[in-house]
Amino acid sequence: MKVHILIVDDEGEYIEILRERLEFEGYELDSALDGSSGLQKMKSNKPDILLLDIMMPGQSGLDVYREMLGDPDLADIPVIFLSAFGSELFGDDKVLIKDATFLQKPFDVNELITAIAALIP
Amino acid sequence: MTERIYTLILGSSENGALLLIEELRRGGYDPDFLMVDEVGKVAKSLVVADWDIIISDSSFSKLDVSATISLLNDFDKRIPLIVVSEDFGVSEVVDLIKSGVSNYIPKGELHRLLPAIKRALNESLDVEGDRPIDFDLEERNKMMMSILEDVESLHNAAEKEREKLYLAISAMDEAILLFDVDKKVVLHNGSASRLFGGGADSEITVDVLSKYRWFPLEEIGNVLSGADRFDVDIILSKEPFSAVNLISVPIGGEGFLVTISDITKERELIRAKDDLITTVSHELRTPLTMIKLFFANATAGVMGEQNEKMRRAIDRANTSVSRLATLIDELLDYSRFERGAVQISLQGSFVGKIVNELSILFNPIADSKNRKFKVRVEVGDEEIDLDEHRIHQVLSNLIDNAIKFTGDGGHIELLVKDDDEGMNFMVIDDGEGIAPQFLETIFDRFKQVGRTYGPGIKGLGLGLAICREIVEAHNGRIWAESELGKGSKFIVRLPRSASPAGDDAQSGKDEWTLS
Repeated sequence: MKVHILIVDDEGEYIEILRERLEFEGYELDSALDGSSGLQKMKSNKPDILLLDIMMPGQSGLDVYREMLGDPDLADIPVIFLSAFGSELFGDDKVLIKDATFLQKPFDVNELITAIAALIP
Repeated sequence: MTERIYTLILGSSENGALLLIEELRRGGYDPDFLMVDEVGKVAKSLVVADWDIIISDSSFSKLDVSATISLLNDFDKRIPLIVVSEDFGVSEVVDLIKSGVSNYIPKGELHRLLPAIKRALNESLDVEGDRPIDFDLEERNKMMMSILEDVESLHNAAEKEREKLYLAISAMDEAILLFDVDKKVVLHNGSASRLFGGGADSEITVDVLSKYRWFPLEEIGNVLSGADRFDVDIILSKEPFSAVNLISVPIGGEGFLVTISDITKERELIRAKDDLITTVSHELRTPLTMIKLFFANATAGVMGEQNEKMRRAIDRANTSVSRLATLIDELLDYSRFERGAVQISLQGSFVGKIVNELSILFNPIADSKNRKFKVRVEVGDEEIDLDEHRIHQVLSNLIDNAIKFTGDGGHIELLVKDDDEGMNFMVIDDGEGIAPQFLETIFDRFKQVGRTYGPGIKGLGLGLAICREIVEAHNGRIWAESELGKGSKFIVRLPRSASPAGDDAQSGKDEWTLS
């Protein structure tokens, strides 16, 4: 069975370019353009790995992550943050994201693929 | 031979009188004297004897001296009166001389007393003998008066200057407080009054100042005991933002001057600039991410086979995108450092680990560019306090530069050794070197000098500036040594147990936030 990845990011075009590559690598990619629809998709079809943007209109990636950690069904999904902000900008939230993988945009897609491979159960 | 001199001493201090008598004896006089301690007794003493001279001691007030002169006029006695005092100002002396006092001797210049007495006695002889006042004397008096008038006008000019200065201080936007050595406010301007609560004329005392929690009452006085300046930016409130800069400087052992200026606007501008840099940098990252992904997809063959020419073009475009990303990082990093948004977190780190990571990272890079990179550690695997991520960034930057600026087949060495002052990380290359005039300035921002540039290795010139910020935040030092044609050596010296800069008095300027 294909590894099921969910990406939550408000940039549709970026998702499409990434989709081409990840599907080429043999993954199955589902996407959501904002936090709340991302959470819905997680609940209806739990992904193996979540790629999460941080700065999004409405719920931020950190809000989404907080909500996931509070939900026993979602708390165990491995998360890779993909953000234009450096991880050090997040102050107290640094503690929150310390268990997650963090890649700063523009990231090297090979690093992303390595990170995904490392998280596959 | 001694000359008897009948001396009336006005004053209440016996010691003071004795000093005067001593002085007279020293001058060859045989003084017969009477001391009166209040002006009421002067009239009586004028009747009981014919005094040769009257000397007023410093314990006799100016008012009493004036009263004595009036008495002398009433009695029509032309006895010279010499005032010895310690605290009369220029204008008071002018008044005294004008009113008929023969001379004024500052108490600290008692040696001038005898000549003054001699002169006064000679002059009074001329008068007493009822001889017509000779021309010379009249001329001399005129000269004397004109000198006094000059002195008075100089004094008035000085007063006017003082008034002008005070007006200027009053008109300044900065709050100005002048303290004496006892930390008492002796002068302040209207801005200071407005800042500390009251109207333009309200009094400012230390009590008033102590009610303002942000006012560094203790620290401003440090300049009295050696410090040459105390300078601090104080954030008064965050919403709405307001901030002041406070500077205290000593004034020649007589106290200190505190100026407080409003820096709200400046700080807001700096913040706006930082916000702009941050926003622009992040906005640029998203399109960059897409371009990078696109090239990576092409290279990976997602879009089908590509010929050699296409592959080379994509490789080059990819390098440019990476460079752009690095530039944005530098800009963002520097702006963070500039506004102090980067916190150095020190923790015990092992030299071996840092060096190993760098070795793993740079060996393949150096190999691919036909350079030799080697690591030499001349210390044991010691643990020192540092921010591992940041120091890794510094050393990477230095090694990366060394690889760039060393020609084909060049050697780069990372040498770690310690000395009394700390742990030294040195990045040594055998490249072209840096001209001596540039060694000082290469750590300044936007400076890129003294090395020859190949294609594709331009930058903002912020890399070394960021390195310096990081090293100095560790209370360490970074510098370069070089000889043209023989290579360069960059040295990062870190104290063994560091405290972050800013925690102690070493940092030049602090910032305080009122929480």
